[in-house]
Amino acid sequence: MSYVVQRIAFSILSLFILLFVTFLLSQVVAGDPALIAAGPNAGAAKIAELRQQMGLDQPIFVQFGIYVGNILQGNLGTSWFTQQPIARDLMRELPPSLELVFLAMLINLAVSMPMGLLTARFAHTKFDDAVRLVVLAGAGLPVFWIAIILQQVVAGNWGILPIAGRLSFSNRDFSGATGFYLLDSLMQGNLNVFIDTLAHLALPAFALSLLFTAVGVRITRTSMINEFRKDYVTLARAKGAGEGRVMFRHVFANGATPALTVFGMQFGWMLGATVLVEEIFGRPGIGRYAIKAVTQSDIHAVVAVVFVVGVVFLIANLIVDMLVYALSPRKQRAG
Amino acid sequence: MTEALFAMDDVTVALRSNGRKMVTGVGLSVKPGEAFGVVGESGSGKTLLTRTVFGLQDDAELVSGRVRFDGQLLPEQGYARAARKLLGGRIGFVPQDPFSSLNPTMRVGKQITEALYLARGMPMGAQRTKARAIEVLGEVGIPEPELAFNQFPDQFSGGMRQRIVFAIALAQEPKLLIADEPTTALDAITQRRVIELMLGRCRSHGMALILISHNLELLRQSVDRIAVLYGGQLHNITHADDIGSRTVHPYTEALFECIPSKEKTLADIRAIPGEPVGAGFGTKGCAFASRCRYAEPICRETQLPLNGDQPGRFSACLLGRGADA
Repeated sequence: MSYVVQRIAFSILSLFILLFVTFLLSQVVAGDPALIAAGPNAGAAKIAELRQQMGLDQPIFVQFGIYVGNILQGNLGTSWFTQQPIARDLMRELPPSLELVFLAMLINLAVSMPMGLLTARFAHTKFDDAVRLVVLAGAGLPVFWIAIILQQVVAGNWGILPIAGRLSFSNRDFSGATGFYLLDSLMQGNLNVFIDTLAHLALPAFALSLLFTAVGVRITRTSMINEFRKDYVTLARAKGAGEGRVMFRHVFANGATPALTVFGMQFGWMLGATVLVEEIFGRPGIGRYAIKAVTQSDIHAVVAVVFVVGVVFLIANLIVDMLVYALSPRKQRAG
Repeated sequence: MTEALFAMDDVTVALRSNGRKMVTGVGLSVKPGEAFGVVGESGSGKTLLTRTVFGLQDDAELVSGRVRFDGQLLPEQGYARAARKLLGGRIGFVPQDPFSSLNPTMRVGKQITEALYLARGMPMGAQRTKARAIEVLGEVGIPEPELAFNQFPDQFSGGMRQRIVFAIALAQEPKLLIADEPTTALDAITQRRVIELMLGRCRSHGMALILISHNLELLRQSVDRIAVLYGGQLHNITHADDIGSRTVHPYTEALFECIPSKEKTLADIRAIPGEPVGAGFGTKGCAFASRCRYAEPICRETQLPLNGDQPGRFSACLLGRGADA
């Protein structure tokens, strides 16, 4: 049990470091918020009054306390550009991005795990070389280029999948409780919207997953090769286990664990990488929101995006570490 | 003479990558219930030979020779596959390193019930399978076998783990057990206990044992006959009792002289001069000639004699030493 407590404490500590960094970021970059809030025609007295109201005359650690307090209450500040609470903006922009990342991750796992296992089993054969070639090509091509080509060919020329957006025009009025359309449509039993959402997600998710899948296959392969060399594989074969049993009952469980840790980190990286894909496929999401915020010098919105991506990264890693722990003999003994 | 349980004749093992012949012209046979040792320095090819002969080495293959088990000749085509079919049921195998030879994320009990399932078709979840697994754990001297059944490998010491590995093999009730350096990773006292356990259980179950080791003294004290490998060549098959009491092959003699004992002073312990020749020496000339105190010009040029697959004694010495069986 102590490991779980330790690991959660570590996450909370990381969260505080993240909070501190984003706090400093907003302090350094934002300039004097009171000056901005007061407007160009305000007098010195008005500015001083606002400064007091906003707690800007307090020592910096008190200001940090206020900042943390605000965030804990779900207050990420107000966007200068949209004039909306940033928290509300993000609640709208995060689900489509997370949906995209989930699907890209699913593609990544569905390809990386079996391919990693098989290329490890048949390491240094023609099959292994062929997969490596494809993977290297996938890793070497820029994401934006892949995205544009996919859009041009699959969506444009072939017309198999939609070119852009999150839903078809006919489904434009769809809304749901969670903002995750895949989930919402299923909960409402609306199969039409579910398929439509999936069709719109397919190309962007595939484009987003490519680079990560390339890394995923290699990481899984390395991890599995390591396992195939161990004596327990020899013992399993000596017991009379066929190659299928050796691979799936013995090697996979042991080799997947180190790879899982990398996949956890990839989740956070993916969310950061949605920018280009969302822009190209005209999808709403946190990536596009971030670009707008940056180009509008909407500093608080930028800092909030950095913070939220950081939090998702922390949560994804926490979940993966818990999963790894749950699969380990250590846990099963304690439980 | 009893029919051999396991026999190989003129077996040559080569690497798949470059076709280099690593182990050449090995012939030996093991009788039912016999304890047989294979000795050789590191790199002599003993592990490569055994792993390849039993289809466990991916990067090497049998390029010539005949292998028979239990009256059945293994086919040349699809040899490795056929050999592996014998494992887990008729032949058991204990790998080298007890610290990595058990699956770290699988409970000890499940690793044994899996063995019972694979060899005997016993359903893995059944009560009687579990009871049998616990019984076997007790038989190899695991204290509190019911508790051990639900534990993971890292909760056991190296010696206990090797007992568990042995229990897995034992549970399958094979006719032949192969143990590849089973105690090298263990301390001297644990080593002796594990070896004695293996010998005792193999004897009581009527299982033949092939014990592979670099430790001639260990083999001399535990098995009936010993095959001596050097440079990928078979040099000698001798009765364990003969070592030190009658003329044996010069290499066996030299190995024996390296072993310290009560009767020997430090001056009596003689290291073999020169560096060991690795596996892959080939068949022309004696691989040991460069370090042999008896060596003559003929030793470097003549083709080494083959043993065939007959049980008994054999010396490949070109000068005829140790061949007076």
